[in-house]
Amino acid sequence: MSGAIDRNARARDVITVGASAGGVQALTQLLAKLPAGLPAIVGVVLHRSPHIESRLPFVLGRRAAIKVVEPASGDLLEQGVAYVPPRDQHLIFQDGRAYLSRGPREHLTRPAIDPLFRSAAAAFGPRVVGVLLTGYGGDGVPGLISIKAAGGISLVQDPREATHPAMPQRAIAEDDVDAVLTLDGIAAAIVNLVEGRPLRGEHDEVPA
Amino acid sequence: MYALPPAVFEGHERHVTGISCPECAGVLEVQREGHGNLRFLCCVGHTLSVDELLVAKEDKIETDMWATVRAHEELVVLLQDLGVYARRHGRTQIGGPHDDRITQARDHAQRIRAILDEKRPVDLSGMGDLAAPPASLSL
Repeated sequence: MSGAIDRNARARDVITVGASAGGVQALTQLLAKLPAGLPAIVGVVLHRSPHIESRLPFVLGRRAAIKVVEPASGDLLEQGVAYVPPRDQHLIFQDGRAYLSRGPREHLTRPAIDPLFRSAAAAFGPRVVGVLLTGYGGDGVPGLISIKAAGGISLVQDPREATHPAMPQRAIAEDDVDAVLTLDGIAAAIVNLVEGRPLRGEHDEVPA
Repeated sequence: MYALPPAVFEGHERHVTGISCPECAGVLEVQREGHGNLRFLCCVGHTLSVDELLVAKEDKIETDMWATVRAHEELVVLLQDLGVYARRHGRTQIGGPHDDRITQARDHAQRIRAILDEKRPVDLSGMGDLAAPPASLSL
């Protein structure tokens, strides 16, 4: 596992994060640990109801140092900004821009994590870090596999820390993820990877 | 008839299944990936994991069986009311007699309700607690 982590020692400047049940708390905690002006594009997908406005960028931005925004479709992607799709729309990274799409539901939900992971892998290849946090269901797992297949890095929240461990457990079972970490460890790993350093830090743990 | 094409047990190519997409009834394909995760994809882009497919198929059975109960019970009251109308206005051509069909449809509705009552959907507890679609779970 860890042998592959710094295989290119290159900067990873596209961070894609997915979460489901328990995700508001986990994402708030993770984003709070990312420094202002982080030289990376961040995409965040959280499963939620298409029927209820959640003001997610406001909720996630309250404790975040980086900017958290809901993009208009076609907005240019900028470093130091976290992009969150509105309810009932997939977020897609393509041609250096954020696109919103009411394309087919994936894993019975929209927004889904896979369209972001898959499009980021296709657009940015080895520059991508995929992060899968707490939740239920199978979303995000094929996306992490596609990120790794394109030369990127996959990080998974430690199921023992996740309030809903099923989604990270499945990611660990279905593919060779690069690291299984606590939220604090994931934040530290992101900073390391963005700055071109190896991922490995004192928070690393072997999958349970 | 098969659900999983034999070829999917080997290799990592996409293959057509013998079942339909629960979201749009389109042709459903399946592909092995990673350590053997099965991913189902349909022609328009709906994507499901195994447990999501099972949940959706169970939901379809539940929905369709209640629709069948409703259709039977609607037929019973419709035939009853048409009988009343026909007797009052002498329109025997719509009024029946339909007593046998009313009795039978009422009996079938009750039997389908009994099946719904005893039905136990597939237990996914061991597959990661996907008891409901993820959209309903957060916020």
